[in-house]
Amino acid sequence: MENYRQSVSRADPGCVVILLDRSDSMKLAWGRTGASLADGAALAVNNILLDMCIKATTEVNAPVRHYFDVGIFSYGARVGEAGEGVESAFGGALAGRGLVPLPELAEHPMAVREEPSIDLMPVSARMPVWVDPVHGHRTPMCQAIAVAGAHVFDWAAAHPDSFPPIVVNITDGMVTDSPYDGATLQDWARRLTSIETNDGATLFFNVFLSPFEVTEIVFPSDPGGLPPPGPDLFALSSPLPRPMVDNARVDGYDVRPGARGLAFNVGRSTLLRVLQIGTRVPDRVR
Amino acid sequence: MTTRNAIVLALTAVCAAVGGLIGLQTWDLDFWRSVTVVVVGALLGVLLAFGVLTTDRRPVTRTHHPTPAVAEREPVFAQAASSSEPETKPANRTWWAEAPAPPATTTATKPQEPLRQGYDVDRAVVAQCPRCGDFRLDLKQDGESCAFHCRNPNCGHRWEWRAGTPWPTTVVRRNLTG
Amino acid sequence: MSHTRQVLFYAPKHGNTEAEWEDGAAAAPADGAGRGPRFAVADGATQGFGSARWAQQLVAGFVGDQGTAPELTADALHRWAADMQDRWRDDPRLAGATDLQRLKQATVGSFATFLGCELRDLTGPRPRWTAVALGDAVLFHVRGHRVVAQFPPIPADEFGSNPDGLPTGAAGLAEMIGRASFAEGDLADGDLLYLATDAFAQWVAAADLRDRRALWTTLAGLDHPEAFRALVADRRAAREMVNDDVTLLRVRLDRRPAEHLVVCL
Ligand SMILES: [Zn+2]
Repeated sequence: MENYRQSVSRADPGCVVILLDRSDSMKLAWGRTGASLADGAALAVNNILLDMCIKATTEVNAPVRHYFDVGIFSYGARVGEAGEGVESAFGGALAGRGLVPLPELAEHPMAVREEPSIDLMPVSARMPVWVDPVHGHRTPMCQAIAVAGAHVFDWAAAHPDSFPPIVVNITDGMVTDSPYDGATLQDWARRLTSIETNDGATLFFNVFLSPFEVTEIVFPSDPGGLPPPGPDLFALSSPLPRPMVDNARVDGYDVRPGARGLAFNVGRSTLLRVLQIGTRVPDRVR
Repeated sequence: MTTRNAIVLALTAVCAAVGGLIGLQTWDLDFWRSVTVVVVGALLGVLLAFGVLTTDRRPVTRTHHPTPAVAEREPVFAQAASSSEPETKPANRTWWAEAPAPPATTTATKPQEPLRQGYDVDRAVVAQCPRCGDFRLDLKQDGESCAFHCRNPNCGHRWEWRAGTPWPTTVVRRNLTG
Repeated sequence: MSHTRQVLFYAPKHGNTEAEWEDGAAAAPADGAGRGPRFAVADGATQGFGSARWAQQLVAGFVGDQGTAPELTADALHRWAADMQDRWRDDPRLAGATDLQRLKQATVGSFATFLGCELRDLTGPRPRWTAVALGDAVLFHVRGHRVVAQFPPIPADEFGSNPDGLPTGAAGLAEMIGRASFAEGDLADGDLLYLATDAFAQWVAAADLRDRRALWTTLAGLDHPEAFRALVADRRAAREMVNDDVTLLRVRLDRRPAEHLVVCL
C-alpha cells in the first residue's frame, strides 16, 4: 500500500510543526519589502496558521474542526529569557505550549491587528497573529529538532493511523550547534524522519530565505548547482510525497521525479506558497 | 420489548397482586381459594396486557441489528497529549532511542448478517423520519393509521401516515439535528 | 405501477460525526398537480463553508420542500438555483457567525454535486424517469440484477475528475447550468432506481463489473441503516470504497401495494 494517502479527519488528524529561525541574521531586510526576514517569516507563519483555521471552518455554530495539531518552535533569540535557545514561538494565551489543537489555536491568537498583505499589494487586512518577529543570537537548529522531535515522537505514537507529521524548517543561515549532544544535523534529521505512522515517515522540509533578490529554486530534484548551504539542506530534506507533488504541480511548479521538500532563496510570497503546498495533505474535494 | 411494554407488564403484575391481597382482606377465604384468586387474577391481567400490546392489525416488522462494534464518537475535541506539558521537554529526553509504541492494529469488524424475520423486503415500507431521516422511531397503530414519533433527541418530530398512501416528503437533516 | 417506495441511507466519513455528513438526500411523493415523485442527492464540498446546508438546500428545494420545485429545463434550473443561493446566503442562522466563518462564507462559499430525478406517467402508457445531473452523483436504473441505465455514465476509474456542480456564488452559476446533463429512461414494474453520491457510486460501478448479482441482491435487501453502515464500513476497510460521506437513495417501483411496515430498532 502506498504511503502518504491518509486524509485528515477528527479521528486521524494531521500534525504540522514549524521550526522558525530567530537568529540575529533574520534582522536583515528582505528584498525590496523594507521589512526584515523575521517580519516576513512571522507574517508567512501567521498566514499559514490562518489558512489552516479557515480550511477547518465549515459551518456556523460549529467550532473549527480538529484537523491538525500545530506546533511552532523558534530557535535563536528567546522572548522571555536572555540568551539563545529553543522555545514555543506562540505568544499570548498559548505561550509555552507545544502542539496545540487547531480549534484552540483558532480561539487564541495573541492579537488581531492590521498586517500588510504578503504579496506587496498596497493593502492590509486585520489578521490574527500567533507569532511575533524576533531575532538575535546564533542558529541552534539541532536543538530545535531535538525539542520538536520529542513532541513529534509522542504525537506519532498517539496517532498511528494519521498522515505522518510534517516538519517545516524556515531558516536563513548555517547551523551553529552541530554536533549537538554528540549528533550532527544530519543525524538529527535522520532521527526526526525515522518517526513513523502507519502511513509513512515524518516529512522534513526546509525553506532557505535569502535577503538578496536571487533566483528562487523550489523543489529541486538535484543538489548540483545549489550554493551553500543548499546541498546540505537538500540532503536533509524529505522527498516530496505524491500528494504534495500534485499540490505543487497544481500551483504551477515543474516538479521532477526525486524532487525534495526544499525551497531555496525564496521571497515572501513563495515562502507562503511553499508552506501551503507542504501543509496540504490528501483530502477529498467533496 | 420496548420500555412501554415492560412498564405495562410490570404494572399489570403489581396491580394483580395488590388486587388479590385486597380481595383476601375483604373476604375470608381458605388457602386454596386464595391461591386461585391471586393466580387467576394475575393471569387475566397479564393476558389482557399482552392482548393490548400485540393486537396490531397490520404486520409490523421490527428489524433489529446488533449495535455496531465501533461506538459513535461525540464531538469532543481531543487535547494533544503534550498540550499541558511545558514546551521544552527535558533536554536529556532521548526520544530517538525509544522504541515507538506498537501501532494499534486496525482490524475490520465483519458485519453481522442481518436477522431476517421472514418478510419480503420488496414489499416493505421502511419507516424513516421525514424531518431528519432518522430511523429510530416510536409507532402507535390504529387500524390503517400509524402515528410516529422520531426518537432522535434533536428532532422529536411527530407525524401520521396511513397504509397505502405515499410516504411524506423526507429530507435527511441528521447533519443539522445530530 | 402506481407504487413507489424509497429509503434514504447515509453515513458520514469514518472518523467524523453525524453532524459532519455533508451530503444531501430528499424524496417527495407526487404533488397532486401533475408533478411526479421526486428524488435528489447532493454532495457538498469538504473544503467549503456551510456545505451541509447547501447540499440540503438543493435537495429539499428540488423536491419542493423549500420554495417551488423547478421544471427540468436549463432555464428553470438556473432561476431555481439562483433562488437557492439567496436562501443559503440569507440563512438566519448566520447571525451568530464568527469572523472566521464570515470570512470563509464570503471568500470560499460552497459547492455541491447534484442529481435530481422525477418519475413521470407512472399510471400512464409510458412510465419513465427523467433526471438532471451536475458532477459525479449517479443514478443506477436496475432491472433484475442488471443495470439498464447509468446516469451520468461515469466509468468506475473516472470518478473524482468531474469538476461540475452547483456553486453558492452567482459568478459561475450560468456556466455551470449550461454544463448540466439531462437523461430519461423507461420504467417497468419491479424496477429499482438507486441514487448515490460519488464514493458509493464509484464502488457500485466497480462492484457491478465484478459480481453484479451479489451487488444488486445486497442493495435490494438493505432494510436497516446499520446494515447499510456495516456494508460501508466493510468496503472501506477492504479499501474498495473511498472514505468519504456516502449516500444511497433506493426507489422501488411496484404495481402491488406494500405488505409490511418496517420500523427499525
Ligand atoms: Zn426526526
